[in-house]
Amino acid sequence: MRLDRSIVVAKKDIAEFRKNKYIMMTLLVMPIVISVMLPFVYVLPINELSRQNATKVDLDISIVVQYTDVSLSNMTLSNAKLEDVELENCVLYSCVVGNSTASKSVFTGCDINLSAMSDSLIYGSRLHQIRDAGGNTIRDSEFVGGNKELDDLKDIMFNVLLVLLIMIPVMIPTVTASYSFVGEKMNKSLEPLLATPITDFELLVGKSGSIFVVSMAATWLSFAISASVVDLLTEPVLGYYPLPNQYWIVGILLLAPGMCLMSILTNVLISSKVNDVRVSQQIGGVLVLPILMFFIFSLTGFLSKGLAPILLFSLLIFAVDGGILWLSLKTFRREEILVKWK
Amino acid sequence: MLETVGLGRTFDGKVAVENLNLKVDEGEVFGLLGPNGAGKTTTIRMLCCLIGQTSGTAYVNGFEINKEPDAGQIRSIVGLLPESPGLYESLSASKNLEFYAELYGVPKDRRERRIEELLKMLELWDRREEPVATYSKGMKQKIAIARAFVHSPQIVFLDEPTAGLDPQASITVREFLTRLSGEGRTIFINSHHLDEVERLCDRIAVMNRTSLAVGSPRELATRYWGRTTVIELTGSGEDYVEVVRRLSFVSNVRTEDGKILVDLDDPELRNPGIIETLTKAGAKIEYVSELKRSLEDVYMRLIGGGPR
Repeated sequence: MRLDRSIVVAKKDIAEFRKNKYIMMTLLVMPIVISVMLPFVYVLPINELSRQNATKVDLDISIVVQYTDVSLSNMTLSNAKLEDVELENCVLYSCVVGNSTASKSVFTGCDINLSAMSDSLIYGSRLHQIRDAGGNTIRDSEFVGGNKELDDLKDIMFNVLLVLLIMIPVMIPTVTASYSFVGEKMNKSLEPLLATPITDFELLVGKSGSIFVVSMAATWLSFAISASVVDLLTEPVLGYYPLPNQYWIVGILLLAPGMCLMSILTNVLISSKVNDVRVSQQIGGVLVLPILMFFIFSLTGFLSKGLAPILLFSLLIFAVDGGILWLSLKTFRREEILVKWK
Repeated sequence: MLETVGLGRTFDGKVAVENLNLKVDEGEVFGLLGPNGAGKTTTIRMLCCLIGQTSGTAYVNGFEINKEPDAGQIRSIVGLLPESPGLYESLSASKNLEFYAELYGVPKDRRERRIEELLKMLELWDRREEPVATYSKGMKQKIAIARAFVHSPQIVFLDEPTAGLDPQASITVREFLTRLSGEGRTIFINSHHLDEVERLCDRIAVMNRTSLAVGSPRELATRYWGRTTVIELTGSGEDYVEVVRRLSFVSNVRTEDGKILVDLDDPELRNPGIIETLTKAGAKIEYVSELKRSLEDVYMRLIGGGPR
């Protein structure tokens, strides 16, 4: 395999995409609309509910006493500000704690920053960079306690947003691939291309590669924009930046590329059967079905039950990709293209 | 340089090409003539290793078609102009050519020089940066021809190189092909334009699924029509037909528009005898010439259009 030839084809295709206003609109408008609009739709209501919930916890702490650089043990404290304090066997209510260490203590309605905790209980508190006794971050920027159902709903909404963003790497290839394969067929430019020394596989890699690169660039940009919008919207209420969380990282790095690949390869198969770009795009629309399945999963909260479901789903998509690749390789042969492609 | 041995191809039981035997020498301009559906494009596609054969084989510069690794070698030494230009319309002429030159692995400096040389030769240098979509049909065809030559291939297959071109563009293309064939390159042309093939090609094959005849235009005319001497007299030739017919070496003699037409196996040897006989019989000869048979006459006889 000569990768340089695939790169030449990919570069040519990207140059053609840049000159195609429909492709450019798809690459720019759809990701921007989805990544900016959807966070408002899905996160703002949750935000509002969280804000109400936060009011109940009452973290508007009024300080009446302050401790700095001391060791405190077997004490009950309220409305205190503690800085560089070592706490042991203490009960704290409505306190602001910073740069401190605590063991065998109970915190309720506190704002705890940059502190190390061991063998302690925390209720209805806002946490920032909390470490264990060994210095490992155990809870980072998170509101602990409050309304558990609301927290679960918030996680589901983040996953729903993730699923909707996964539409981007699926939908962009239906447009780009149809222009790349069907367009080339309609333009009758495949014959001179196939007469060059490039192998069928190198050509498939080059053409798919160009679509993958532009689709994933738009996808990752959308993820970045979307996560930033969510973080900007939620941080004032939650007190931390919730995205990207572990589900999003798997989604961005595994699921999105897997779905993108599925979309590209399916479009190769579709291209062999149709000779109209619009027909190809319409048939390519069936690719939203696996996303719909994923969407239903995400609404049930199934995906929030640890990383296993999303990892398994990603692996399933890659397995399906393997099958479609095998079919595509059978279809994407010189003779098939020239003689049997419609 | 190129040889087909019993080459054949069927599509779902339908014969497109069968038992095709051709031999094309290095540096030769070879024309393949035939009606629509005669298998010309299928032949070119097989020779360029675009589709496989179902019988026989062929060798291009010693490499066997559709057999790895030979097929890859063949693709790197041949250039192809298909029936449709198949250019990337949104890209400029130079980008189109650059893309193909890169695919063929032409080094950057040589690539630039070659593209400039070809575009200047085809009078398109000034418009090289404009998108191909803005070009006329003739200009697109010229770019497609330049693309077939961009990697300086040893053999070039041209499928209808002047199809759809206006006379001026056709002349430019013909001059271009004549110039490039002069570089010792083998050129294989599929065409319906008999006069063009006659002008450009050293040898011709007429095919209709299989090869019906191969040779130079003159050889084919002689082979299928014989040679005919035309004698124009002062006055009608009718009075002297019988005089000529009595000569032992004359097999067929007739008159057309008052001229005497004599079919001969060797006009250079027999013409002096005929002239002497006619002169003795009192005929006044104005001039003697040879009847030129066009390639079209040969083609129509071979393909089944009947004698003309």
